[in-house]
Amino acid sequence: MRTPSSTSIKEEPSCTRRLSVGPEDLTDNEVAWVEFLRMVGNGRDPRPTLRRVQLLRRLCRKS
Amino acid sequence: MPKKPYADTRLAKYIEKRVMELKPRKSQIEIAVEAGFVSVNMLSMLKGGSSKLPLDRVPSLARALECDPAYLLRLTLEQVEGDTAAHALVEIMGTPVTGNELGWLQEIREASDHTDPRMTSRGRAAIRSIFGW
Repeated sequence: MRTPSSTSIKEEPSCTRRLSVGPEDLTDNEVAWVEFLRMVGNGRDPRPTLRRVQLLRRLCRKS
Repeated sequence: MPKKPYADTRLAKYIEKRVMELKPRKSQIEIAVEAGFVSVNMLSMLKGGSSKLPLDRVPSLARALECDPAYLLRLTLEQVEGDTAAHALVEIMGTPVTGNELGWLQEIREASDHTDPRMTSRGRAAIRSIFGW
């Protein structure tokens, strides 16, 4: 099982329903990312397309 | 009780959308048979919202609709929100994580060099910009 990092955020999104861990365990931070993706996706299940992933990498490099 | 109590649920709309998308290569009857429905009308009832999807039909319908079973299960649990069994399931097990969500997490892990990044305001802004918000 992966251990959540010590910097895990305590502040939860407004929707605090638990995520099931599925095939692998998620850290608290990963749960927060998925919750936010769901909120932004407006209930859909957006695919990580090549264009979106390239944007994500570019944005991560900037920070 | 209304004739179509589930018409406004996301599950009914999603099934209708998938049936439309598959139409060029798979008929509604083929989908219903593949999902194991005794009556082919069941799919029409699910689309129209006059019937809810039994939980035990989620895996076979997901295969027939060629969609993520975790996503279909999530919509199914949402549809029967008042159902105590579904409520207990969500409370204990949580909402299922889809393949696409795991794909996003994998990309986030790689983009962050596996540092388990926090969901900061910068991260939120990045995700919003990816989706054009």
